[in-house]
Amino acid sequence: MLASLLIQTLNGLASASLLFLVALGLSLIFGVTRIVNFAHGSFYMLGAYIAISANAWLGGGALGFWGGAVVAALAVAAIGLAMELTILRRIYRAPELLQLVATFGVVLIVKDAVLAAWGPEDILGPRAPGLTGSLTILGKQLPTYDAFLLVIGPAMLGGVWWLLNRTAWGLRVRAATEDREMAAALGIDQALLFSSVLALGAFLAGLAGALALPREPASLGMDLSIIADVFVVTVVGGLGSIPGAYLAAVLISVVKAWCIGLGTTTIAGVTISFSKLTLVAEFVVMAAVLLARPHGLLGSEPAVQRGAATTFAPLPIPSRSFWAKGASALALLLLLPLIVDRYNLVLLTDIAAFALVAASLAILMGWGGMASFGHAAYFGAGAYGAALASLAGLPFAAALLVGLAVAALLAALIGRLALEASGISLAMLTLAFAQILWAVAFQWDEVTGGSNGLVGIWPPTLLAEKWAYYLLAISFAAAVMAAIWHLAHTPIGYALRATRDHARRAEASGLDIKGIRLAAFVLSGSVAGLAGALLVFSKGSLSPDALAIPRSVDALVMVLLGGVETLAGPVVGAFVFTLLSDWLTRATPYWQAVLGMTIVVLTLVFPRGITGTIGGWLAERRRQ
Amino acid sequence: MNLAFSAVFGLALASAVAGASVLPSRVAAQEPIRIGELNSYKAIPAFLEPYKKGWELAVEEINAAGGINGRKLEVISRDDNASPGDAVRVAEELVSREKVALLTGGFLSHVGLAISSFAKQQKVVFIAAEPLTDKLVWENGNAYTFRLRASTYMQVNMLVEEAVKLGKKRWALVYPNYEYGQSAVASFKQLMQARQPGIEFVAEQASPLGKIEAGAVAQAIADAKPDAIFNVTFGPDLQKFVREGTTRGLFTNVAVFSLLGGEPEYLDPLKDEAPVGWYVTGYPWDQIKTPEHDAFLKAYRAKWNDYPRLGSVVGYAALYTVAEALKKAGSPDTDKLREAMAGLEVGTPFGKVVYRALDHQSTMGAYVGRTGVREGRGVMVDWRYEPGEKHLPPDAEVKARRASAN
Amino acid sequence: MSMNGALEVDALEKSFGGFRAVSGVSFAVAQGEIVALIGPNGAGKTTTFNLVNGQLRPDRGRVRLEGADVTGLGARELWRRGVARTFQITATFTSMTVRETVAVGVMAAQAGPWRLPGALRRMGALDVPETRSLITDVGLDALAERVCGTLAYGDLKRVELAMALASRPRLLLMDEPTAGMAAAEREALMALAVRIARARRAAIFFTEHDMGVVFRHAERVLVMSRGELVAAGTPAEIRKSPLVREVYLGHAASGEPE
Repeated sequence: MLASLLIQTLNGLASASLLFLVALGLSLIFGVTRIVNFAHGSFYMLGAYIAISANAWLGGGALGFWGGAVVAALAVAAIGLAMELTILRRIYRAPELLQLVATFGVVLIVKDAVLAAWGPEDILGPRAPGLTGSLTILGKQLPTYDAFLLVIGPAMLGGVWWLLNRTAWGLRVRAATEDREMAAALGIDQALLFSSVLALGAFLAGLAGALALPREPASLGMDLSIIADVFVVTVVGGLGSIPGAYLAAVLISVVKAWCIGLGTTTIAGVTISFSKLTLVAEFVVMAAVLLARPHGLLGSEPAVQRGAATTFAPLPIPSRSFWAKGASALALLLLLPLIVDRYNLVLLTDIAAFALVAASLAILMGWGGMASFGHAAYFGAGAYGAALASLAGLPFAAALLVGLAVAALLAALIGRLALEASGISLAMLTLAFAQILWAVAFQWDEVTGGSNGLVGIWPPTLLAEKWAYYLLAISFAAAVMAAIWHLAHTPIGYALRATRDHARRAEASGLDIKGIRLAAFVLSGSVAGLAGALLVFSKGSLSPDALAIPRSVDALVMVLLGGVETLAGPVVGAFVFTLLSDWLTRATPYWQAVLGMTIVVLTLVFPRGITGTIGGWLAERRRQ
Repeated sequence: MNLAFSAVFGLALASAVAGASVLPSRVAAQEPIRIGELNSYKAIPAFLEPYKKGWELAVEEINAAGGINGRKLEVISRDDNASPGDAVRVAEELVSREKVALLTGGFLSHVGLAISSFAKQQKVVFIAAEPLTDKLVWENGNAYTFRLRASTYMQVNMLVEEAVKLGKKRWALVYPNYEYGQSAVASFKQLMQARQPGIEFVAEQASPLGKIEAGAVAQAIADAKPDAIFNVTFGPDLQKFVREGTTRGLFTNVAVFSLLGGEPEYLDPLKDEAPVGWYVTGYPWDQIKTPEHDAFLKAYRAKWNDYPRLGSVVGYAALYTVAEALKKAGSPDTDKLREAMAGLEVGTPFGKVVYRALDHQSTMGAYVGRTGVREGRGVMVDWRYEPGEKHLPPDAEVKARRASAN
Repeated sequence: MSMNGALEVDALEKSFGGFRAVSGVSFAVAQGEIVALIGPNGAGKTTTFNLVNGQLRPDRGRVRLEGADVTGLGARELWRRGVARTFQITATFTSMTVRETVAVGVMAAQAGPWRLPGALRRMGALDVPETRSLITDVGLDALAERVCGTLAYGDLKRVELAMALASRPRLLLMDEPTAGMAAAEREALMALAVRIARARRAAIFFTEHDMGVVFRHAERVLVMSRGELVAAGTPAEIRKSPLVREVYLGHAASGEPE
């Protein structure tokens, strides 16, 4: 037993090294540029594929493997550099997280590029020459390559520590990580620094991809399967803390290895399948760590932003003409069933629901300044609540209410816990809770139908026709949107924006910061839950997919593309993104790449979102 | 901002309306019969690219032979983005805008179930090609949904036949942690316990799909000292498991049974590292010597300059199912199609299969054999074809499981 | 020290690590009194200020407001007890107009964000006499519809002053109110603050670097050095005190009080 535990620990440490290598680059990039680089997993995947080709090109053997790894890392560094120079450099001044959307576009492009270049089949890469055997430890076998990985993690940790603490470049990186403005004031060439950090970060991810080959085939799912984990590692370790990232990688990997080692165990008559826990182990660890230490294991409170580091655009009280335009848009929408075909109505029903999700996210992000990476939790909870209520025999209207209530309660709970942290930690906590909820829906067969989900959830006969349901969805969405728009300029709307603009000032003026933020969570969760409940009856079925990360990412992309700072932004974002993806999937087999490129271009042209940037142009014209 | 809003809103709306104006005119007699096909092409390319090549070949052949009662087949293919919500929307588009006669496709079980639920509500026939979940035709089965491939239960049953012969006592189970893996293991346990009392399951490892910690899993299984392993993982997970297990000596003197392990999609990437002597279900495309398979192989190679994978056979057979159903029904009318599908016989590269009226499951079987390595690549040896009808539970049991459906 | 003084501080102590930042500091501010706390950098005045405004919790000692113990209470509790504050670096709601910013303060003071039915209507505080008169009092009528983020620094200070006064405080805490301003502006701002505070019968307790401002506007001056209160008196007394001269000369070459 003890021997098994030891070997499992070593297994965990070996996995931790690779995870750390990828997280290292992400942490450096985030520390210096504050960019949440979604494409980091793509760098990792590219490293693996390029190493395979480089290995063949170098004729295999030791040269092929090690030389190939270096070639791959360098090539990926060049790709990272290119991404910085062509895309990121243009949007550093955009509102926070817009860069996340741009890098999400890059993810889509890389995915299709890899598919085109290397084909759809998984490729089992070369093993490391000389490291293919295994060592016998306490009568158990440990692959020699794992032993090598055990060493490489701490070695890279040491190497990067040396780079950061003993070189002039490292000094600049640390200065920029701790205080960007100060670094700029000291005359550090920001452009050069950002480029070099992006290149180094990409280099490390590419190297990790190449070094992963003996353990993992190159496959098209590598990018997304690792990206969530490295985010978790970076945040659990403490943003910008390199030793923290290593510690977090070790913690998560070893916990997983132990769960596997324990397998299915009976404790006091209760049988627990620890191996099933590996589904969300990293997120459970993250939730636990961040609740105890909001800044991560070795993180410290981020330096106070001085001056007006982040300013938010004003949100003027909507004019009469705004409402008039809204009303005429609604009238047009309500007349649409007379003009357009059934499919358009179905598409618009989707858009109505997505617009509500995006608007609900914008309440948190736009008004409250709190990013939520797990918004699918409320959407999915609303959908499951409504679906289960409907399957239990409740009437349609009651089912909608149940969905809304479930989501509101969940938002209150998640908000209560996540508000212990702030900034990116808060966002990651929402992601952790969403993932835990996803895992529950995934595993709880008896109630949620497990991974297959629930089927046969249709509206009553009166609403069975697509046009009827469309009218209902549009009416609901319009009413809720109007309520949200109105709410922006009621006391709670102002109070929420006051806490975002300057929390301490708001508190000194008597505003209950946590209470107001919690109210925002509940409001936001309710709206998202209603959207989920509405959509599930239009789809007829539901699976944990509704709670999964891609749904949360979609919501983020919609909000940021449309513009997080305007009232109409989320609606426009939902409209554009949904129409675009719907149209592109039909237009070209390489729709992912084209969608990715379109997203990148949109972020470059509209750095404050479509509505924010166009609004800025118009204001500029009026001034002239 | 207000102006911006109305500008963008108007533009988007205009494009939506413009889309509507390209509605197809009413289907004339000599116009092609449109078939709606949807699948998770970008998410599961390893299986679905060959699958697509398979059905494209079938369409070409069917049309070259004169089509269906003088009308050609036209397949409108869509990506469902591996999301049930998107799949339902895409299905709606195919049905209402493209006016397809029926739907086919599907790979992921939860997406397949979502389409099947849609098919029932919209009263359109759905021929599920690949989704393996038993529920598709049993617990959640409905009058409009039919399935081609041998289901999870059927494939497990094929391996159980072999497993019982070995009489191994201590079994370890490793499977991807979602419905397919869970129900495969549940069926395996149930069938084995019934036929081999006293069997022990000494280890059970459920790994997140695509994210197996293969080293730790191999170690944990080795620690349990099993006589035999039943593996349900596939794809990259399987490749990782094979490598780690081999390096750690897990498979020495242990019998391994691996569901789908002999399918070229999952066996070929392993090349010379393919395991030897595992009991698998799969597709030994290079060794099957039946006239129907020979013809298929030759045509496939001629068109694509590549060898077929199992996905190719599934895609090919799915489209032939569609063609036979249309021929038998005489018109692309849903009720006639449903009638035609019940008991429909279709010739496939694996031989003749029948869509059972009882539960809409086809009797397409699978090849069962052992793995080996020949000329630096994994192959199946000592294989034989197991017809599907042999591996379905008694009718009464099927009826009971289908009781909630209609 | 009367029992109903606006603020009473009794034997405050605070250490950071091994460093004693504040040691045995006691003083009082009477109702409506204007008191300045001065001292060279590192003397402990910012720590003392933060112990009073609730941002820091003392290791020992008490803080009382009108006789009630408020030691260690947070900003919101103090606000509830009639304390308002301004920040060293101006703190306004940069995305809002001057009117909106001041109105948020008035709204919080009058009903809070939750009280129905006002909570469901367009914010009423935007257009109430209190908001208008605050804006007029600080001289921002012309800029009322400008967004705070676009204002000059001196104007922002005025916005903040109006916000602080929105709760009708009995004690106004000002942390370096004139930091970062031009000399002429400093004088005007402090004169404004004192004038409004007097009109509204609020006491002011402030820290300040500009000795000119301190001596012209404070009624009483407290001097800190090395964590201790070393002198207290009228501006005239403090100006003459040799001890105070030494405290400043001993620390900074240019630190001689004017």
